[in-house]
Amino acid sequence: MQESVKTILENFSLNIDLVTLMPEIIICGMALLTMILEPFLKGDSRKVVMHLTWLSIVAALISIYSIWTSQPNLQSLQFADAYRIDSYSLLFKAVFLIGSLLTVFISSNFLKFKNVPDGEFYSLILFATFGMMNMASAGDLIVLFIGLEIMSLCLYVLAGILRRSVYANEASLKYFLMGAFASGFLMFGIAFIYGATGTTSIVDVIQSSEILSNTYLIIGAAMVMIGLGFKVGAVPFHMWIPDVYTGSITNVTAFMSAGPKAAAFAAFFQVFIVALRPLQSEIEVVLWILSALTMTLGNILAITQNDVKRMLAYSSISHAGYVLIALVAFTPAATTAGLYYLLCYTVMNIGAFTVLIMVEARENSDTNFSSFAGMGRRYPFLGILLTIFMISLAGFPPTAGFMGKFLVFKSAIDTGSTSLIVLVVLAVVNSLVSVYYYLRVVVVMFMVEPELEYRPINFATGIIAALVISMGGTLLLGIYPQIFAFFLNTALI
Amino acid sequence: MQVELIHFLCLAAILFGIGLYGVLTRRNAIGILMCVELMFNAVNINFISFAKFITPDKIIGQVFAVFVIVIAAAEATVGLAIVILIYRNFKDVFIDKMNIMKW
Repeated sequence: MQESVKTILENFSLNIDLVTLMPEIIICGMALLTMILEPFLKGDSRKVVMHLTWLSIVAALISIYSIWTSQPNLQSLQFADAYRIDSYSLLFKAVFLIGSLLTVFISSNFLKFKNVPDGEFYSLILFATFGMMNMASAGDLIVLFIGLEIMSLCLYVLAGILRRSVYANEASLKYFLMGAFASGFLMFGIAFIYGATGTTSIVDVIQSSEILSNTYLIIGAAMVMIGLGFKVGAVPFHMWIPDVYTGSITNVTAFMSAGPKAAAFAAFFQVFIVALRPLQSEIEVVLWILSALTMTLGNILAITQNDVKRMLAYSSISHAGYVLIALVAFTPAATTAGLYYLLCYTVMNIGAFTVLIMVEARENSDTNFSSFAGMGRRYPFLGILLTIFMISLAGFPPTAGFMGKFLVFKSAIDTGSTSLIVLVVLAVVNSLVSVYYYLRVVVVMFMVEPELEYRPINFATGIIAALVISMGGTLLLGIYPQIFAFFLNTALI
Repeated sequence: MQVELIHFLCLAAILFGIGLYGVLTRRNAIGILMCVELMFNAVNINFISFAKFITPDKIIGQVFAVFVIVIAAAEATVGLAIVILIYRNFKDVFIDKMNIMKW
């Protein structure tokens, strides 16, 4: 034993390249700094924390861009092969950072409105982002798991940050219990994958030519699928999503539905497309069923909702179903399409949540459909913006939602397998059904008169910035996907 | 009788099963938290036994087990904080009462 530890330490090469790690260093460093800084600030100077947060996210985005342009075919394994940085993981990180940036912009004013102490909020957002970045870059199942836990622990706290609200308490507890339960499954599965292959390195798992025990590998894959299924909210494991999304404060809901969902999919891609390639045929069948159930049930339940926030929660379940199609297809083009879809979803979904927050941040207002009544007449421009976000979520042509769905469906049909074509047909039917509940918001907004006198909406700077970015993204991703052509050259393996 | 890998795996599976059953049937939030810890410890037994029997010359399994212990401690901290918050607002830790929103 002593001898073996010695040889391991001798063969241990960390191989760290600080330049390519810059995004993580910026985000983690700023998370620590904001945590330390916050107790020393009083009154108006507390705004510094918020400004530092969004500036650091922008800095991390710039550093990703510069790594991207200076080293286009980057493939580096660091920390003794435990951390993988390539163009695919860089793009995933960009998606998380955009989600976090928009969340910070919409939060500042809303937290004040809800009387939430905002110090720890920004620190938790940054730590959660750091965890997601680790998940996207994981070269080893240990890193993937640690990243997932860093992200989840922050999210449990964020879900309950509205401390006096019993709804937020309930959301936080449910999220925590479900999340810890899912982590148990995930770890049990990783243990079995380790038992079957003798390694936890994601790249080594496929290369281990003699799999020691196929039974262990199948048990491991099934357990990991349950664990990650909880995190993305695939259907048999979705029960926590509506309650947690409804109970949490709305800006946290926007955050949870974008970044962490994309991060869970990053983990899904890493484990099932890279590591567990030997089990491809079995995995495909299970994922096919998960995908079909997820999009259908999510859509059917969304129709019956009377609360826009809860409706968006169910719609996020059905969108997870569409991304799962990319996993069923199992081709490099499909992994690219899945990533593009997640970027589109992040932008348009946070856009829709931004308008929801503007509606909610008024006196005596809530998130029911009826609170939208009269908004289209009073603020036609805002009404048009929300209409564009909604038709984008439904998947109409000139928007991001259409382009994302188009790429995912195309990559699935290109494989030529009959079962995938059936799945795509099901997805198209589901998109048509979803038009009903998305456009219901638009109908209420433009055609229903408010019952009471209309209470004005407060336009804050951050909210306007978030609206501009998300609207710009929604239109650009839909109309000029050529700008994002570099996406198409990056695929997982 | 020689103790083989399969015996350790059965022990871990039984422990995991007890934890799973507890999470699904317990009504007390603290009880559920303890059952989740049982599941985590079942994972640790798995890792250590695989490390011993499958890769005796590497320490990956032991390292992973240490990480699992750390994560379990962090989860317990956050979990207990949430339960205390719940107790302040509900004066109770039974999850039956926490059903304001329909499931």
